[in-house]
Amino acid sequence: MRRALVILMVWMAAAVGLVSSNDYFVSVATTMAFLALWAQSWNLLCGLTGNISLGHSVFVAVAAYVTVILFQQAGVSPLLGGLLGILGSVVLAGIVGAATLRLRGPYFTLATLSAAAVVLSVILHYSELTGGPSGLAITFAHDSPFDLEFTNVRAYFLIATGLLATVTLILDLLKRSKLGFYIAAIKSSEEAAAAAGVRVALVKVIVFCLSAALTALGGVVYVFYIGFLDPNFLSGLTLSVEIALIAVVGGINYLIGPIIGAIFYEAIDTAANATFGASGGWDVMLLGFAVVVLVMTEPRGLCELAIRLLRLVRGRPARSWS
Amino acid sequence: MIIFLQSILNGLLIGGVYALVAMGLNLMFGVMKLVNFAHGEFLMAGMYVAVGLASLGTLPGALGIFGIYWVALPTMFVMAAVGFAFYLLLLDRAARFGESPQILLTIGLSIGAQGLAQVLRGSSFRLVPNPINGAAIRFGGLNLQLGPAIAFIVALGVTVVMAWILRATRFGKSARAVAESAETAEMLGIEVRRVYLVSTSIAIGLVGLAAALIIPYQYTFPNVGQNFVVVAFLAIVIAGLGNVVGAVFGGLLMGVMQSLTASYFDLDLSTAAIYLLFLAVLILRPQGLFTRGRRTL
Repeated sequence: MRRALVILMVWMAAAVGLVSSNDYFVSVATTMAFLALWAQSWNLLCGLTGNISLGHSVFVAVAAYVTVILFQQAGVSPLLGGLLGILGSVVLAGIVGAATLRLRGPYFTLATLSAAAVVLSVILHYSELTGGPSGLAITFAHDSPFDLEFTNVRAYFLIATGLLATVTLILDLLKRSKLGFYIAAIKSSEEAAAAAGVRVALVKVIVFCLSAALTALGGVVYVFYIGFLDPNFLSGLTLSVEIALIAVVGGINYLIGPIIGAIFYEAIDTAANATFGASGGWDVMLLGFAVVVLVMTEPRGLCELAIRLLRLVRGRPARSWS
Repeated sequence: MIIFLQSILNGLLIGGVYALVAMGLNLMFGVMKLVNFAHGEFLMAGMYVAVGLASLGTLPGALGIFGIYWVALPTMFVMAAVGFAFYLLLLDRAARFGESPQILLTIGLSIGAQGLAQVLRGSSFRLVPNPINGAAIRFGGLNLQLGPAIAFIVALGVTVVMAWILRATRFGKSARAVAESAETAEMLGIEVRRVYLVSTSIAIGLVGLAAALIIPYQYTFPNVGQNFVVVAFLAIVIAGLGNVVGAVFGGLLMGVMQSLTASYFDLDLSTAAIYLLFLAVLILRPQGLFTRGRRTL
């Protein structure tokens, strides 16, 4: 039932994107879909295990760089190169995860943040291969589906929404699977889970790798959509923070949370840019303070807020936050 | 050899500012278990306050070439008041939220404050012309930058004062008790929320002091806090989260590391080296280098 709902929603969005003649609207919706996709993949780690990662942009970056470099230097199709890129991200996640997942709370957060910084400064350093701070441009003039090259940007919107639906379904299936129960046990008490025979470290690393793989998948498509590997976008703290922010703003306990979060985030950003211009800092200011106001009103995110409002409308007393 | 010594010296001097920023960060973490991702933006706000005050002029005749430093105490008190308001308006309520809403809150505040600074003051780089900027003393072939040296000396002084406050005053004893266990402290009659309020004011006041000490030689712009706060984060983890005095050594160590790797390696890789050191400490000694056992504050 919930699964059907999610698929229906995503396909409705896709249909709107397809028939819409407004290119600007489609580009906003595409960005929204990518952000939601990353937030959903991030939520696979954080929502399920409670570990907050502020380094997820590194998985986008590694996959994007591997794919683009293989494509440009060796002519490897992004469909194959993308797989290798995702594999690269998974290996990285395995190493980082094995080393840092036993850390809890802020330690894990700071560890992911710095692991990402190490990889990204290495990427910038080898500028002959990676283009350094000026990045790499992908130029194409023809449609070539096997190279992820589409002249009509709506194709990327379709792929992004399709991937978003896929990741959402994977998350839903995972929650009900054996692995999902292991994770739930670990989240409530690591010691108890270990005592009951759950291989805590292994399960956590697997979840981290899966989350990295799905994030990387979005990265491969995204870089061909934008047509430019921008190290400022991929390497900054900003994308990692955005991903985490969107998921938590939406509500980490809901499948639809990251999607709602992405819509909220992109809507404020777009409205601010349209009203005040893109360079004055208004968008950043409004986004930041909107998040502050939201947290102070309902720390568990927009989904929870909506539920509370619904209860209020129906006249039942709202459950207070615990 | 001279390059080596000069790098160590530069590193120590930069590290003094990191230490001031890190101390407040660690006080808040130790007492409230809150990682304040907006700490860098309080530094930025303090810098704008200090620049605003400094552009009013220097005290006539007094302090000589050090005239710009009159802004230090006013900035510290303004920022302590900001910290007071920060606790009462946001943290008092947010203290009851879980970890991820708190991280979200401070990140939101950090982003919002950067935007606000840009909206109000534009994204230009500001520096009040002053004789300290670029001034240096030479001895034995080494160059001692005057501005960073003053910041370093003040940082050491503040460390001694903070160590004394935590060890000997009534507030310090309460703060250490709260850091150990807020519930037990509450049961023993300590007003936990007041300890939180004072800790936040001190932490933000310290960051204001740091801001006033760096404006003579450091440009002020909306994202300036990010340059300091990430290093300060690494410093407090290396020192041990919650270990306020240890944070100073962490800050100095980060400064020296940064300076040494920048002299001997490429600048890009110097960042990588710092983070690698950090990861190594995190994995091998998660309680920090300067913390024995579970002792806090």
